[in-house]
Amino acid sequence: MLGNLKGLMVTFATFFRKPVTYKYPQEHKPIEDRYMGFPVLMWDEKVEEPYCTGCMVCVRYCPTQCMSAVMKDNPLHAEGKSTRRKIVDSFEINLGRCILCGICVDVCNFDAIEMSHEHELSKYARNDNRTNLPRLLEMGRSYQKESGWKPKPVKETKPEPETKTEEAVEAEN
Amino acid sequence: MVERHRREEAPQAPVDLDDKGRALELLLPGILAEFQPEIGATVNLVSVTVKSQDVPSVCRLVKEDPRLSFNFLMCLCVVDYEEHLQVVYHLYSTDMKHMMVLKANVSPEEPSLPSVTSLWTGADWYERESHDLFGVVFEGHPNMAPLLLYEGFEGFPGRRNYEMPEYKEW
Amino acid sequence: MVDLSTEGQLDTVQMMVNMGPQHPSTHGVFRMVLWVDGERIVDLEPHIGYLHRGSEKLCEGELYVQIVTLFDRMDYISNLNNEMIFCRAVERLMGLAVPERAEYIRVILCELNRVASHLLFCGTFGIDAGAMTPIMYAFRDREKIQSMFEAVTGARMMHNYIRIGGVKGDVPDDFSQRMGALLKVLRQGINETDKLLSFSEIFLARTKGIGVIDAETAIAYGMSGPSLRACGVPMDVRKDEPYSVYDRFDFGIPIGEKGDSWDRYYVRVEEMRQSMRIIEQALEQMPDGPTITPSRLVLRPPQGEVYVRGENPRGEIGVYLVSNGADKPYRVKVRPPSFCNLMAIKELLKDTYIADAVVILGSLDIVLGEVDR
Ligand code: SF4
Ligand code: SF4
Repeated sequence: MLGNLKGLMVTFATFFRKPVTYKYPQEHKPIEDRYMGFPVLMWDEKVEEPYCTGCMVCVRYCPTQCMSAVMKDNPLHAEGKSTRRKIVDSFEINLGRCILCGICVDVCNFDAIEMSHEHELSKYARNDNRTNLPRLLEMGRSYQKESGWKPKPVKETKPEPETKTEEAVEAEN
Repeated sequence: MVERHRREEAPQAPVDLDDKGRALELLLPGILAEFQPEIGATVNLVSVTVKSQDVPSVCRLVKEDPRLSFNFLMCLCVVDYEEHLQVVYHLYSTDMKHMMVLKANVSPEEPSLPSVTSLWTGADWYERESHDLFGVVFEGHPNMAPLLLYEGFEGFPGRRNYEMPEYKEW
Repeated sequence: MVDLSTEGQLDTVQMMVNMGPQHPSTHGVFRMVLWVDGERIVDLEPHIGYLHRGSEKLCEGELYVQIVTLFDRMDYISNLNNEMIFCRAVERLMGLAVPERAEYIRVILCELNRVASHLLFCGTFGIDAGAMTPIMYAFRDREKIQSMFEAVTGARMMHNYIRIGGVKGDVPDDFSQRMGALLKVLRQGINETDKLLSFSEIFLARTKGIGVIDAETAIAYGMSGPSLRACGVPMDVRKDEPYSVYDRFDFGIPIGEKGDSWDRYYVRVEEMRQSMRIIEQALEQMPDGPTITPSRLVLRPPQGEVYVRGENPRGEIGVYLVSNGADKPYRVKVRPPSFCNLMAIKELLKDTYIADAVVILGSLDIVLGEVDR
């Protein structure tokens, strides 16, 4: 009997506490700074082009193979406005398949991809989560604005995946 | 064939046994002498390779010998080395707190070896799982029904030569 | 007392009852075929494999950095512990040293994960025994832990934070303060859950003396973790074979006496308190320094095989890793703790009642993602 009464005391004491739940659609739980939402592509405001060069490193390292990228010659480079010789032509992430692991962010050499805070993405058809380049860049820009994202200072010592990935490709073939 | 080339030149991981492992390494050849075991070592454990039909007697011996008393079957698994299948038993002793690896090779065509369920009840599902995924038959196992796969599954998906069905995204 | 035995008065037929795979009490997709005589279970046949994703086979086709994400999804209640065991296996094979700070961060997060996992257990076990309130309290506290994980790792469940050679990044600056506050809240929360459930007479009647297993049988089945410690066997990898920096902390291993469902429950409650002791000590001792040993992105560990053990919330996990020197492992085998604990269900459920079956299954604290892999 005593044990039950003790338990009832606990529930009674809780009457006077503030509720801890969030009424979800009206009220959102605040997101932590490091939160990893869907990966998005960043926009270089200085040159008005994406950071991504379409080098496909992230595509190769993605554990779920949910992305694809195509590279093209950068027209802005020919005009001398940009230092990027190549630029992304098309890019697609199947956000329905992405597992939010953050590996693509780690391997990218150009700071072109980031985990945004975007995490609500319900669609009507199961294929609607394939997200193309303009949409990814748009999501990226809103993330940039929201978080004040800055590219990392140039030439940080990262393990260079570039040379090794050649090997990886070789081994795959 | 870049990969095969690499496999041959890959360096061997150094063996680094702890004190208990070294003591076992000295003890085991004497105890298991009648089975002519091959005593070696993985990176951190002593490994003993015996003939597949000797497995139950060796297991009984190492379980009942007071110097070893391996009363805990930690893990049972099969590794497919293409030319042979290797059944690997990781044994642990709750009293002496030491561990060893027991290995037995079986042929991939007709893999079968005696079950150890009578010694460790816990071998039951491990053996069924190995039967599912690698087709190894454990003689004397009470119930060899599929565990992880469904009834009537074709092939042994654990093996390296298993052809994965083509996956298509919508 | 009314004499409830029907012997000699009525003829009863044995009936086959299918429990699961979509039964709410089976904690996932686990199916038991029960042969019952009235309410009493005469025989049973457990069926698993509904969640078999072939994780071990998938590992053979992925790079070492990618496999961490697969381990996250094996035991999805204690992700960080699972990440850690795989990273330790690779580090052991390669002889890679982990910076001290990283080890401390790992230990703190893993212990925090243990608390979260046990809290979930306390809540759901309450439900299994018929108490609806404790899960609200347990989830309230678990939610705080998840938010902490979100602040440190960036994800609430599938973190991919522990990497081969260390951890992904340093903890946020206000980590110690936040942890201190969190521990205070948790301690209070655990006490509340404890008061609500542990000694409630109804709960005691439902769990004391139910599902008893003795130490010898438990060892023969390969049970480990709290389920084995409840039988009075103080087996804990953190003490027996201290890995990481566990040898630097002072903590106890709670053990039970009888090996019944209540013992299995209470061992976990006590374990949460011990985990918090570890976290406190680790926060105090945490050194400064780097958090990862840089290694190549495409790892090629040397040829060899290694078996590492670790203590998960559910029991002892082991990873057997065979490498042939390529960039992908040759074979990965996991010793899943729930798999072995669940194996004993046949022993535990014989001659019990259906209502108790739910309690006993709940007390084993299984995660089907890990049982089936
Ligand atoms: S690695 Fe970076 S630059 Fe290369 S394709 Fe991916 S996002 Fe673009
Ligand atoms: S977060 Fe992971 S799964 Fe998602 S796109 Fe990047 S690498 Fe692929």
